[in-house]
Amino acid sequence: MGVKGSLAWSLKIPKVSKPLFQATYRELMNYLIQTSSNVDEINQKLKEIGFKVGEYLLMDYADRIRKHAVAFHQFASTLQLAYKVNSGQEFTSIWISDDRRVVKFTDVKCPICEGVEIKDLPGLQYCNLVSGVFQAVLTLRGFNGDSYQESCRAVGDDACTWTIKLLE
Amino acid sequence: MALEHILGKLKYDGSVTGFALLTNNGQPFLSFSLPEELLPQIHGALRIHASSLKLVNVMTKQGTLILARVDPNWILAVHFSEESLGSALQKTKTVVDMLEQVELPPPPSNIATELPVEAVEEVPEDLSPEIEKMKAATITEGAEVGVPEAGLVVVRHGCIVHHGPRYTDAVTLGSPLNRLLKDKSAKFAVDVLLLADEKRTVFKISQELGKSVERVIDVVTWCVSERILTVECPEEQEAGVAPIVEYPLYEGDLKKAKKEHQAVLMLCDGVHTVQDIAAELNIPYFKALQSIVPYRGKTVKFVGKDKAGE
Repeated sequence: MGVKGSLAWSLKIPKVSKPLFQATYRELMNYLIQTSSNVDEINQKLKEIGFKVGEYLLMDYADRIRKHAVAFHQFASTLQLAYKVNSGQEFTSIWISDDRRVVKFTDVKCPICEGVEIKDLPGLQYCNLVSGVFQAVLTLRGFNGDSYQESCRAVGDDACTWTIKLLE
Repeated sequence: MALEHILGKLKYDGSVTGFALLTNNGQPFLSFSLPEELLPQIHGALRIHASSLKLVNVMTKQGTLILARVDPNWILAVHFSEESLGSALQKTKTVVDMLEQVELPPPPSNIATELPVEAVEEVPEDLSPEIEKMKAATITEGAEVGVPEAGLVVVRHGCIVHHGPRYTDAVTLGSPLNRLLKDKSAKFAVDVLLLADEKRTVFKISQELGKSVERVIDVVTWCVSERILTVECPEEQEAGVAPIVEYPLYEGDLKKAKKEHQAVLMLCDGVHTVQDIAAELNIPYFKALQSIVPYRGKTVKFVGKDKAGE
């Protein structure tokens, strides 16, 4: 954790209780599960919601973060900071491909799906809202990229991993 | 208190095997699992007590049946399997007292005024030819009045469920349609009909029954095809009705803003979104945003509006 992230988290960010956030998120998921016909639809809706959330967060982000990513792979550090100031924890690891066109963010203690175990919805991307937020940042910053959740602890994976990919 | 909440007291009472609201001539209207073989006994009791009926018990093979007058038009019938007579009477009386606070609609006009003396006995054992006839008649009739074909109606979670022309028929115990309904999904379809109150959506019904939306959609779709129910599915519902969107509004003096921000701020009029402004000025979204955020909370405020209200 960099000094900036720690300071921002400690001093600048208004906080809400984690159980409150998790319970609200869980009910959002329940609603989506009940009103969608398949897992793909749930994942897609969640990403769309995340996009809207990202659009909103970007207003804070645009104002508070002075050094914006110029090259695609620099999102590794800007999104790490964004994740930290919004969740209070860092990604466990970040991997950048050799050609710098793919970045994978991994959290083995994802706060979104903590304690959640879903066995009957294979392929569910429970934390895909994060992908939507990332997608908003990429798209609204003018990058042609894609974002998706690659693995999720809620459905039995070891960690939650979100991938962003430059498309052109 | 709503009717179904009151009846819910009986529905979730383990000693109650079934209940129904009856018209004066013994036609069950809102029935819930009331054993059909009790109908002759009910009709007999109603004939004996007629208008003087207040609260009576009838011993049946399976338990105790209590008949209680709710208002001049309606009688509540509750069947208990394992319950002392006193307790059964008391439980029924409690529910009737609550029902008296509710304004019950008058019985449907198409219900016969005469007691259906032989009606139950006359129901043929094999109903299928009659049902087939009814189905054929329904389709023809539907086509005549321009009702869209059932296949075209896509029932979704947000659709409001209304009573169709054959609703009364479907909730009348012993009617061929009622039997067909029960054959299809036992008690579940009846529960759905009971909760269809012209206001609830498919989603709301599924929540109240604690069942999946898909199961409710199945039943409602079938009932729509049989003209027992109709659904009202607003088109815009699928597109997300009216999302709340934020519009920036600049209320300061433009001359005091940085020159490079002025073009963007000029368009911050509470009507354009940041996206709109970027498109209008042909600049990237992020650049437009960066011209606005320094003033946020000072001279720029974001007005949250329902997009449909534009």
